[in-house]
Amino acid sequence: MAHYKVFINKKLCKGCGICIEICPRNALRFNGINPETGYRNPEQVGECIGCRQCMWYCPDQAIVVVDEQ
Amino acid sequence: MTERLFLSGNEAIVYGAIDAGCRFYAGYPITPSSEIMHLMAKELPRVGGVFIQAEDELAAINMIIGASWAGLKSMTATSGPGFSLMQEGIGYAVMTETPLVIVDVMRAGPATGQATKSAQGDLMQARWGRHGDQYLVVIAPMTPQEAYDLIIEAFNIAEAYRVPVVFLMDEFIGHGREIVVRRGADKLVVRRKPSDHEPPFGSKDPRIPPPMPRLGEGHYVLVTGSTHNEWGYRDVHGFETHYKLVTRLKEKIWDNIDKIFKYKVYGDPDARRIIVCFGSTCRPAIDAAERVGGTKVLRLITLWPLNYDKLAEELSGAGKVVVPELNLGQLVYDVAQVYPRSKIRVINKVGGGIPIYPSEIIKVLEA
Amino acid sequence: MAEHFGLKYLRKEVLPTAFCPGCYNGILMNALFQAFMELGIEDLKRFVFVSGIGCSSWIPSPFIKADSLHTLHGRAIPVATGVKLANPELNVIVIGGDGDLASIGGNHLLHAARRNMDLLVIMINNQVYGMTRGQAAPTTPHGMITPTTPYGNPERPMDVASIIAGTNANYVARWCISQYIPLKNSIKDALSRYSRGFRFIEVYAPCVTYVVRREGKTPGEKLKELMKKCIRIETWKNMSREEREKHVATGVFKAEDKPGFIETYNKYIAQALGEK
Repeated sequence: MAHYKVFINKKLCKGCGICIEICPRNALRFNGINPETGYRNPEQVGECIGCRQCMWYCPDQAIVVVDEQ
Repeated sequence: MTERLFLSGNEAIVYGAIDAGCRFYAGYPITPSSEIMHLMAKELPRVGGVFIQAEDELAAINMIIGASWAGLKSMTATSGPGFSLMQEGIGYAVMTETPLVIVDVMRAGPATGQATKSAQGDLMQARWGRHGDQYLVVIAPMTPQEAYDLIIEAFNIAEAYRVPVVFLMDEFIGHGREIVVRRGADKLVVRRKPSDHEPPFGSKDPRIPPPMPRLGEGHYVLVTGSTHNEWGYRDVHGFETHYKLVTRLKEKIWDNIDKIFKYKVYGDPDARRIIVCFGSTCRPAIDAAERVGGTKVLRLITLWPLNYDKLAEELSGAGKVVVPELNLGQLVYDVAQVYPRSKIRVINKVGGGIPIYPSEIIKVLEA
Repeated sequence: MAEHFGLKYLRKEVLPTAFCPGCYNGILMNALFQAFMELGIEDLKRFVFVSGIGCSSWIPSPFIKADSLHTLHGRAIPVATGVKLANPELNVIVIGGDGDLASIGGNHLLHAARRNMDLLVIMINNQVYGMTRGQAAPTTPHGMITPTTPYGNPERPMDVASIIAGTNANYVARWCISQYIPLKNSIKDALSRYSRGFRFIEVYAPCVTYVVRREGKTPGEKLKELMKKCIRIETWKNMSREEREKHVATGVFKAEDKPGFIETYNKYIAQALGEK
């Protein structure tokens, strides 16, 4: 069984929310404001199926999806 | 390889440019400069160069900018209306320190004016045609032979100072046909490439132009027409970066004025009657001076930067100063900077392809 | 932590990019970088990016780690032409917006395409002049309110991909920014299978600040809307006029592999000089 993890680069994330809206499993959610950038950053809260849409559609190269298997 | 050829000024420019190492030409047809383009189309491929006919002058000037960064000595030629269209591109070349040669074969303007008729109306435009503070070099030949010799000089200046050079030539010279000795270049300036950690857009001593990286060699160079720091990164807000950049671009030219500025004296060097001229009006001026005697001809080769100290020195003690021009008075403003305007006699004539005759100059000299 | 595949093609010291949060420019960057990665391109030393003025022109300058020329408004294509002709060994890519490439630089776009000049041009069609606050562009939808069309845009938008398909260009495609995989594959094709002549990819990507947010939508919502709105050209062709206006036709408009300008030019010169 594949086990995917979504990494968010908080230095690059601008909190646009595309990843949260594009995720077919609603696996991402905003989690507070990053004091360094002033932007909201998402975090993984649900199961990731590894479709990588969040990575492709992240305009800030801030998301990496890794297969931890 | 010295050859004696019977060439027009336009044709002489082509052979001079090729002998200077020019290997890229982009242009758009326009009278009276088209012969440059025709001959370039024929000759450049024979020496391994590239010729392209652009869709307009905007494209032409920008194509030679691209080619220059890719490492080729590049030029274009045009005339009044086309020169107007190229101004923004020339400003970009000044800002990005791109070596180029732009030939403007002057015709009577403004607008379409008289396409086939000679004029000298683009002098001020060549110097100041762009927006913003910017400095480049303007050179004017007097004969087809000089078109050959000075275009080589123009390429050397462009490469040495990383600056566009405007080659301002009257239609009379462009279409005048004479014996031209194709003697080759005495020396050719080779573009300096950066060593490690040498920024491409900055130097401690403003008189020393920065080295120029060539595209595709791993320098990861950032070229931009926006205000930039010495590594090419944009800074479109800060005072310091902008002020430093534009003053360096000015000083690069003006602090080297002793090396760039050239002029020549004809006739009686001690005479108090002085004619100041450039381009095609110089030969009638020299002829007039020889006929009447007691007259000095001060002929400017470099029209920009202009060494006002030298001009003042040459005009000190002058009794009468005559400025003949194929326009309504442009060079006269320079002379007036160092000599009382009320004492300057002007001869202005433009249109119809009629030169200023020696007899007209003599009349003013003797009046 | 694993590194994003795009970072090795970027100047990390200038990140994050200057684009608005959610700006679709960054998605195009991902597609471009993934195309490079899948083609086995390790670094961009032999690539030259040329751009003009506008938000999308900032993608290469200063963010992409390659030689780049950030030129005058509208003049990216002639500068790129000069670079390519002077050194045909270099891969020259133009990235620009609809205002830069289709309006002020429209003539250069047409003529480079007519010449089949060996360039890849990626035009991001964001429907407005984003950098100068969202004025109407030649691609702005009919009736849209912008600062320069306060009563609605009386003009109709330009179908740039179709126009370029009508020239001698080798490869013409249009994709929505929501069609990531086909867009990425199209860029790959334009750099490999169709590596010569003029290649033009229009990327339909409405400005998130002056189009999407003005519509009251988030960038993510608009992206999902585009996934439905953007359809293949084959489907689009069979639609009624009203239906067509509600959709964006995407796909490959043209794919040929004719010799580009440089090959043809060199052939003529070789013939002429060889005969002497």
